[in-house]
Amino acid sequence: MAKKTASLSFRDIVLGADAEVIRQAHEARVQINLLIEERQRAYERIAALETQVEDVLGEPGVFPFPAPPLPVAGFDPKADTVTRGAGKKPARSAAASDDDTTDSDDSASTE
Amino acid sequence: MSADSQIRINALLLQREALFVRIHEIEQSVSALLREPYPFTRPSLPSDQRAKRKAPGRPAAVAKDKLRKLEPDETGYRVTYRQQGQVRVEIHDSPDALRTLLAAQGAQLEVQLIETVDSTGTTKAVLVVKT
Repeated sequence: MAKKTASLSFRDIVLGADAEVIRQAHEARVQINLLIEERQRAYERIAALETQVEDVLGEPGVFPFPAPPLPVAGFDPKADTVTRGAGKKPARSAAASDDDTTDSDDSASTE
Repeated sequence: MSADSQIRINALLLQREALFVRIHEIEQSVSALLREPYPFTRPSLPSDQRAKRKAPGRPAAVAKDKLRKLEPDETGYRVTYRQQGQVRVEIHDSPDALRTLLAAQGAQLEVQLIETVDSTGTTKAVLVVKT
């Protein structure tokens, strides 16, 4: 489980952190948001592809989809196929929670 | 499953795999930027959903185990299955496609017979038979 991060006010950041750290943190945050959005789009595309596979088969829920070829968050790295029923949250993922980008601190504090 | 369907599914799975590789790269990059593991969660996918299937009478797991390797005098597996009312017969040299076929059984797809054959097509052993 991810730990909750304390919410920092604008004043906390301006007065409490070194200016160079603030600059680096802002750059990191912007880049992370872009990557998170790309990850979300990739998952949406994967969902569409899996639906197409099941459409070809004519029956949903039975095809043994292979596990990701490289370690990916949320998948059992030792499994050969996707463990059905393992998905936790529907649409609201880390990516979705990061859509509100710059001013909210929600992104790093996930469930 | 027809050859066209198998090809289409394989193409879709390749695209899916490439996207997972990209997701892996993204997650590595994000954690590098954060300088510690990022608390990712992932959205649910169609592959997370279980089909509602009746438990008894489905020997898929047992049948999967029966797909042994070919003996020296055997050249392939001949599978007979019914898909959407049509009976199809195919020969495969690898059990992987048959495992996929067995796992995909349902109302529209039923494997009836899997046997090993020699180079002349003569049956050498029956591995799976629908009871």
